Amino acid sequence: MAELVLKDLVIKYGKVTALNRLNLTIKDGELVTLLGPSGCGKTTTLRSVSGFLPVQEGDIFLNGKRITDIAPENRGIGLVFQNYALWPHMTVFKNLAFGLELRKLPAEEIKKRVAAVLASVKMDEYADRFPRQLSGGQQQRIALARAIILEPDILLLDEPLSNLDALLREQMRFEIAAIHNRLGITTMYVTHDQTEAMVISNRIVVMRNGKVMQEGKPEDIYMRPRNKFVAGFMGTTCFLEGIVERFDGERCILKTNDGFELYGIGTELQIGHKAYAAVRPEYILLGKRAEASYGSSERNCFKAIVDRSNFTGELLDYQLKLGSNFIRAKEYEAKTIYGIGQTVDVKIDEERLPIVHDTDPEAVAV
Amino acid sequence: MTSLQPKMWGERKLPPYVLLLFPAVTFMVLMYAWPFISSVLQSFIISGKEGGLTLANYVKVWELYRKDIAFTFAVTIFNTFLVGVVAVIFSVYFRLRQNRVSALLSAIFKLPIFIPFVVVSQMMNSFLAPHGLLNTALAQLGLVNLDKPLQLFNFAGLSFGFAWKQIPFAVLIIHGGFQMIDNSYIEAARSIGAKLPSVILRVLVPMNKSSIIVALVLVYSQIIGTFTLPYMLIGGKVPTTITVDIAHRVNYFRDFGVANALGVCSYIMVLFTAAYYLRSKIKEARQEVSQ
Repeated sequence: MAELVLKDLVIKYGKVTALNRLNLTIKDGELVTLLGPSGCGKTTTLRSVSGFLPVQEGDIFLNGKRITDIAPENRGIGLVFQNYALWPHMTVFKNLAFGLELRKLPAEEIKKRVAAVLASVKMDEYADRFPRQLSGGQQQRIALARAIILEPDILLLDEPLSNLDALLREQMRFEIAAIHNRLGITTMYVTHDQTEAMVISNRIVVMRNGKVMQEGKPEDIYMRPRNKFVAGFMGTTCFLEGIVERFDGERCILKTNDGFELYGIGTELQIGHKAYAAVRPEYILLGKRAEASYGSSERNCFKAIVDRSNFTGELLDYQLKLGSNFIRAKEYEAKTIYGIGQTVDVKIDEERLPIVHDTDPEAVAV
Repeated sequence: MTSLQPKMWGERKLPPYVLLLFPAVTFMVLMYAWPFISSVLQSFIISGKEGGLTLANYVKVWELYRKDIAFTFAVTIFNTFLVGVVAVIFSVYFRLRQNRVSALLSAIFKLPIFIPFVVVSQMMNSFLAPHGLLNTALAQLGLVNLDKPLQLFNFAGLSFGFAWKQIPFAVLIIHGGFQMIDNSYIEAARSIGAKLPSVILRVLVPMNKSSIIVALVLVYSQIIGTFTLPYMLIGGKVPTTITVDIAHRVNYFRDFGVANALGVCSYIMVLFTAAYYLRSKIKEARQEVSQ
């Protein structure tokens, strides 16, 4: 059982505030991803939890015990690094056995535990290899094995997949999620890759300028972003600026600067607020598909002009001019290809159109 | 226009780029190989006498200088070890602690490197003398009676001088190697529970093995070949170092045969370290190729 609580953490680098009264709780067995752009404070948070970065204000609790001032070697935390950090002079076996040897476990027990953890990451045949004889993905698995072999209370992963190629990264996402599900270790995962965060996390914490912008389940963060920053960070998003005109039941109606009325979801807004419709390309229907859905409602149906189209293999990626703004639309299994300059019917799914205010300067008071 | 295609030269094909090696090889042969071979040859010839090759010079070396050879070897091994240990400790300190003290030390520790051995020898001569600065300071502290001062013109004094001069040089090389080790390797060790001694002995030192070996080989070779410090501290007393003996044979007896035989003894002492150094470099290069 391990619960991590960060309370009012403040870390400053000179005059720059890296963490600004950060509060966060990671429940037992949960995998929480800190997501954000470079400089948002996610790695600073991880390093403060690991003990390698002193906290200037606030406290860190692990299982209710204050660990703020405890040395890293005494925290019982497993750490996986972006560059793997496998000791190059040790074989895979030695890399894994090092921590167990420090705990003075009998040789037989060490052998048994190394074999078991190697099997769990599907690397049983590589015990005698040196790190340089392994591929990037294999090295990352060993780095993960090294972190979990000591059965830490909490596992911290610092952008562990960022050095891998795209295919391997995708494969490793699932493997990390599977290992987490199997072992149930409380995990803090840091990444700037939103797809990675969506795939592996129980919960995502979006950060910016040392503050939490939003936290929640991956689907909630994606479908119900709280502000323009979060909406822009998750997936491909085009923003249409306007003023909140009225509310119709659960719908928020935004009148864009070009005079279009957009129906969407907006919960923290009031009439007259300046706001943005976060249009996602995958929730736009084009041409006949748009016409076919007119029957249900003509809301969010517009005429747009094709400005650019790209064939990426699996889909057609359009850039469309809607009034004075540009939006993107993605069509899978497209039967009609629209040419540049062609006018096309467009319908934006109002269920999946978040209407958000500009980035909240105070962020979220968690 | 010069063709890069192999040309017929007699019956052998010799690519023209071999010519590019000529200046470097010639320099090596004339400046290093020939003096070395000549020295070895002369060690088998008795100076000023006609005749063939003989082991007489080596017999004389064994009879007169075997204690000095042992002394030289002992001084060299001990000081190489001492310099290595202290240099690793300093380098680790500079690597792991970034504070004002380490910044100040890292700024001034390099100074001895730029002081010539002859100046160091003179400094040690006055510092370690029976009524020199060290004995006087210790007497002020009540640790030494100046009527019976510490006698340091011997193995101990020589070691102090070598350490003073060579530690900064070794730190420069070893610290450079430590600086190349990414923090994540250290943090990875600490995260699994490694305390400072384990981090140093099981991560930092093995990862920096090649720099440490280079530093030790260079320090070892320099100590064996140093003349001024043993000459000014010990002089002609027994035991002394081979270099002092060589100077003695040449200056007082013009006996180049025995001097060269003593030289060959020092080559042999250095040869093992050089071979080890080359072996580790070749191994390193092979590993890089296999990566």
